[in-house]
Amino acid sequence: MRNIFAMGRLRTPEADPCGPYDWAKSIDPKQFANMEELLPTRIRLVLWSLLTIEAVKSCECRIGHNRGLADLRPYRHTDLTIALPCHIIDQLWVHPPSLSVNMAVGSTGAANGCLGCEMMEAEQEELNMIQEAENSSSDEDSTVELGNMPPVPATPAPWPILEVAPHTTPQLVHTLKHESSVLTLVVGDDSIFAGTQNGEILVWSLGDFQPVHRIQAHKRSVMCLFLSDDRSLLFSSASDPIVNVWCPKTMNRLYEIYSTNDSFGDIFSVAYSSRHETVYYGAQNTSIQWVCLKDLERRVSNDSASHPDRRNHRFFDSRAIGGTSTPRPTDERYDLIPRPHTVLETDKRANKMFAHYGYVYCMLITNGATAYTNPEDDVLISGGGDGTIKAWKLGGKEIGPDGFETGLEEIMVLGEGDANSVMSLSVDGSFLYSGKLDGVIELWDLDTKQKLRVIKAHKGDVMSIQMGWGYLWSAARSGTVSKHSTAHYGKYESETSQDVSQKYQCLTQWKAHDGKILSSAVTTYDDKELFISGANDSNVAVWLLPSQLSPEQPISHQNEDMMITSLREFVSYKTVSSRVEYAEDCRRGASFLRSLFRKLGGDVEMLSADDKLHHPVVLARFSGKAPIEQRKRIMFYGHYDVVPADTRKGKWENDPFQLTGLNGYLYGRGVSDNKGPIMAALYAVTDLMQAKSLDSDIVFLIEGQEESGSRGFKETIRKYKECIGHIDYILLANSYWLDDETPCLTYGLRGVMHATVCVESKNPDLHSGVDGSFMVNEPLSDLMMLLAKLKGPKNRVMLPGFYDGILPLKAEEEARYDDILSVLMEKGKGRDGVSAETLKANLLARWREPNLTHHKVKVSGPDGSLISSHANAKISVRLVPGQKVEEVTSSLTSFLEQEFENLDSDNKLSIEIDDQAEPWLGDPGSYIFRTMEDAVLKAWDPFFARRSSLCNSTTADVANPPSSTERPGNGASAKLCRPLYIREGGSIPAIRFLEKEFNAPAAHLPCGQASDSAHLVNERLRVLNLTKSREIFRYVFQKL
Amino acid sequence: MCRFLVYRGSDEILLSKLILDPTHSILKQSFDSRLRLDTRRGQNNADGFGIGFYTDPKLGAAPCLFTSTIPAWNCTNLHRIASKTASRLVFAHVRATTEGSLTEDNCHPFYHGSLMWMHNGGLGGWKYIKRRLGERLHDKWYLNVQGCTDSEWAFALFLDRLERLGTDPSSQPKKGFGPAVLRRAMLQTIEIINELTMGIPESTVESENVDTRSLLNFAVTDGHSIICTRYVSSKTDEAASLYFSSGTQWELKPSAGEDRDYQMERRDKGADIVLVASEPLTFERENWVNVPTNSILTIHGQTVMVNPIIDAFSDRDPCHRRSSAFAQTKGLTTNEKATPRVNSPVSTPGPEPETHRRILSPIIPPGMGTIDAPPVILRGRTLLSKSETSSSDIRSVVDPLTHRPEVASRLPSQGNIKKKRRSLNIGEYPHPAEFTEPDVQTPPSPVQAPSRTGDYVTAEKAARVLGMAL
Repeated sequence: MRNIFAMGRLRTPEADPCGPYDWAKSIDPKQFANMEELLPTRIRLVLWSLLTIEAVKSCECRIGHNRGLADLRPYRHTDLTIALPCHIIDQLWVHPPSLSVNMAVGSTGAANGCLGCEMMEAEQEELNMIQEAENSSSDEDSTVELGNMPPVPATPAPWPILEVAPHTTPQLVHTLKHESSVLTLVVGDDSIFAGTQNGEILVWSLGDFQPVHRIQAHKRSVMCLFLSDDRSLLFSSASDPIVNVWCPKTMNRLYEIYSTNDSFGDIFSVAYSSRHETVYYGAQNTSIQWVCLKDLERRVSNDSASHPDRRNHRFFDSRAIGGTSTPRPTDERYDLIPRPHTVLETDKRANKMFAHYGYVYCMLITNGATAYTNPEDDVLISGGGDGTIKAWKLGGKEIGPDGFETGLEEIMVLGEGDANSVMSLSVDGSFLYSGKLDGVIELWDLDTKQKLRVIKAHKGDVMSIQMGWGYLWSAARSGTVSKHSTAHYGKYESETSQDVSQKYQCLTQWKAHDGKILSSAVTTYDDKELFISGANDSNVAVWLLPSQLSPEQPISHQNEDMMITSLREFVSYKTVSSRVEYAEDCRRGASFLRSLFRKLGGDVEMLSADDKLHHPVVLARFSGKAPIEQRKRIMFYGHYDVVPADTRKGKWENDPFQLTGLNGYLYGRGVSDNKGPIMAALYAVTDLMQAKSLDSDIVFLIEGQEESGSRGFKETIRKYKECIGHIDYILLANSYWLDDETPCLTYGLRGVMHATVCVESKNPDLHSGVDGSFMVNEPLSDLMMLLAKLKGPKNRVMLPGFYDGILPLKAEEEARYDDILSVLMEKGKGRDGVSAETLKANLLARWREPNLTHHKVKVSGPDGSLISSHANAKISVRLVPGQKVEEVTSSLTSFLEQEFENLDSDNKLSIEIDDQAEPWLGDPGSYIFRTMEDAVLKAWDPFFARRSSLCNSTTADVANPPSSTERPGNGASAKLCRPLYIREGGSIPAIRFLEKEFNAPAAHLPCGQASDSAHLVNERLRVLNLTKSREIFRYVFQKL
Repeated sequence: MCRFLVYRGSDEILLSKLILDPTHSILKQSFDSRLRLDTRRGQNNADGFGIGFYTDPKLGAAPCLFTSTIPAWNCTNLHRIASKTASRLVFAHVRATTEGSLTEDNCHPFYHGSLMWMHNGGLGGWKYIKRRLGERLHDKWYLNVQGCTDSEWAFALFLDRLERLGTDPSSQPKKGFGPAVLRRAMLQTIEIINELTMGIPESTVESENVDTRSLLNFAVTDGHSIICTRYVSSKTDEAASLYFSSGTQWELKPSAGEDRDYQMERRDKGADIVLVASEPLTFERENWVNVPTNSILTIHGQTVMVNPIIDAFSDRDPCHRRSSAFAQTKGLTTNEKATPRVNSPVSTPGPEPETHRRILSPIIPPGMGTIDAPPVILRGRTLLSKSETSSSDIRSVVDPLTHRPEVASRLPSQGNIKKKRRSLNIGEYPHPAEFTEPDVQTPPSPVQAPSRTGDYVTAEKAARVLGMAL
């Protein structure tokens, strides 16, 4: 008893009307009045199940007037103890409304702080105490005193002290969009299966929401999907009316099941009993039919004449006057339905007509739920359009000599045929929940056949209900989802009905879809609790629920989500560096980064240039565990600023500053450039730290001006060079693949120099007619003449010595281009009419040749016939390795000045250099690139494996000599065994600067795909690319 | 006989989408009826038509009716009205007279107050029970009958039953009478019709060769709930066809091209649209659900319920087969196939007209008041089972002739078939065509008569003992 100095057993006072969860009213406020100063305001409550000795619920709550008690709710209502660490409370009275819940206010003495151990120790004693309490509370007094506990006030406190915090609306993690209504959903181990109106079954993976399969499964709407309990078989029923059985992994069609009974309408529901290996399906004409998968007698050939596709129908194949009959409706989609391995014809006798007096809308298989059968027997429960629920005893494939009774035997009818259709069912122990029309949910006890509770949960029909984590989730036609508290079935049957009256409150309700929700599923995947809803707005929405379980779980389990969560918040900062009005947002974005780095264990500093004009550079250091002298220091360079997003109507599908998951992609401004990759790198570091395998120091250098020319970056870095320290490798991830499939590594970037050339007259703006003459040197004319000198025929740049330093094309470099071409020229890439040579020349010109561009010419004065007093032009030069930006700058300046002199003009020339960036060329053979390559190969292993197998088969199949697009004599050219090494025509000012400044090699990992639309509307990043990038960085940070 | 159609939607529908446009709309059924094998006048239902629909409640609870005795396809006004009228609840009917004269009074639907009624079928031994039926009615309902069809008398009986159940059929309640009382009244109506036909003295049945079997496909609505039945008072015969369909949208198929037709779309599990029809309106076979024989369909809100009518004529064995022959003799077809057809889908859907006429005409009931029915000749009793074999099984590979003896020998055990018998109607002359077929088998009636009597008694008792209940 050392750990518990207060506990008690409380009973509801007779007249106490206090509602469920209103724990507050039963707490004496006076007890807390003087405790507030003594105690931390936040305490943690852990609810323990005495039966299983495990923490079933834990929550933080705050003590004091009107502060919230979060989510404190018994998991198993009969077996509850609430334990509180001692240093917090001496008296906390919790008054569960109706049950004798045992409450222990535990004192752990703060000795070891492990509540779990304490509880284990305490449990036995506690049980003894309960016994005592029960004995001593035999009188009908409403409260019982124990030990030194003060009496619970008989009248509840007039104001609440502990309030139930509102349940938060789940986070919409991802939307999966399709073309037609989603009628049914099931969720497997790692995939979501959806059945649609146009007869397709769609399969997405749960991890990254990538589409896995898309199968034309039926001719018409798929009405129901059912996954066998061992998840080895997937059943689908439709309005065909056919039942199909699929392998959920491969989506091979294992069985096709049809019935010879004519015109029985849509098959609304299907269920499978593994025990009997029998499929049951319920149809529109009130029947339930069944067939045993293993019954050899039911097998027929694939072209059986009694198949609905072939058998004759009195009406539909009848002839009109003149002898023609209406042809069967066809559709090209029908040909896509895969051929089944086995066809089963349902026995005519295996048909329970009038199973309900309405459509058989829903079915499920359960066992041990009712005392009317043996616990291990499978029971089929069906819900009908007539409003009744029936339980059926199953007889497997046996059919009695007199026909039909053995296969399906009615053992229970719940409800009257009041036409309030049962649309959905869910079982929890012996409790059966049924979702009905007009938003009604009914709760039945399968042991007593009693209706325990009716809940009006929604405005529209309840189309789907699920049990998950002790809550009841209902989804309705009105598009809303509700979460309700439940009274889990316990062992004290007599008390359930009493308790039930206090349960089933709606805890939270949210609008999940614009259309009607038709289906839902719950699952725990990768320790995330997900609610998935499908609706007739053609969307499947995946909702991440705030964890229902203990937050005590190890932090590593929460990481996968944290990356997305952090990215979501990161994207929400409008860090547009080019616009003054967003300056504050940029600062806030930087602060966010600072606190995030700090939270994850980094050592953070904000680096600002002296002028304070520029957004700060965020510097974060994560220390490795290797001895300091052997420790490598790896720098990750990125930028937190983004380009503006044009939010004018209709341009963006979603708010660009709100991360939106859709069909496996994350949408938002900056998600690909460059916020997503920063998060991938950051969480790669976190992963390594948690695995205790981070050897090197990782230095994050995240600037805030990249999109506006990295102004002030150099100065800031130079200023803080000491602080940053020595660097061994530089990594960045700020570009995209060449296409959408092939992983790439970027090893080269062009440099850039932006300049403004201005010619000024000493005169003001003049009238061209009044003042214009050959005596007047016009600034614009001078400027045009100058600009014209810069480029010659074939766009050759006329600066002297401009092309001198450019590196020649080496054989190994050319081989890389051939690799790229082999990928780009593949079939189906839509390179209409462009030959490989053109494409290659195009790439060479963009990536390894310099160019000069005239951007814009501006003149003074209004429009009209006048001579501007000054004119300026913006020009830029893209530079390639071998060219030095300073040399080109001075060459350009002197060239223009010389040419201007030749004009002999009395105007004034000025040249202003706006931005400069050195070209960068990495060495693909270097250690850093080889490490990156290994990492990419490892992360994208499935891609490379698939490709090589593909290539082997195609090269074997192709008998024709290689076409001109392939390198002659090299049959394996299309085979790709490493990422593509690419260069880019664009520039990142910082990369070469950092290389030079820290004398460390840099490497560049493109994270996104070509279709990412960076800088454009609907910028996005594939979830898969994000997680793979994280893997790659993890590997690289570890190996370098 | 007739074809009917019922529409119930959560939204209004333009009548033309039901009556005019679909491939096999009720208008087309009026001249190309596929499930009617009565070829006396081809496949026509040309003796008038009627539509009834409920309008805005502001205009009152009673339906709007439009009936005409001209063939539906000739009625320009029908086209005009149908393409500009929308309603949530529509009854439509095309008629081929079997009973009653060709006047607008005899056109379905019939109505009283907010109630509307249609019938497809016929009452067994009508002329022998008409007086008894009348006697059963309150004066109010007896005097209310305007026309001279058995269908309207059945409606009168229904109204009478409804009143006896404590409801005033004329009251036009705002929310309707509720499906339960309508269903009870309907079941009682059927029960009494059965009672009446059973009450025909055995001697009359015997001597006048009365067919006491009724085909009772009724539809009734109060503007809110709809009750439809598919019923035959026989354990071995099929009822006349009845299909239903439900879904979320009744629209033209999106696929362009010539086969553009209406189809029932399923965007969810709901039933925003419910259609009930004697024949499917389209050839989308997956859309149409067979209403089981001897069952009662209730549409309330947008929920469809199907209850079996359990009485002496029901059978719950899923393998139980009923014969289509009786319905066919009435110029109707049942939904079910008599035997699975083994051969190709191109097989003839119906018997050759010649064969058909040969078999069917002799058993068209006499004295049914059919004004324009051709005179027919008595050929003694034609075996029902024989006509089944000859008419519906003619498409099967089984040679009907080889089956006959076996079927005939099974006859006595066929429970309560009340075989229709004909009396020689003096003044009626044989149709000239009939004389050319001397090979039509005439069963030896004296031999079979006693056993049939026995069957009849059993069936009558059974029906009375069991009564009718849901």
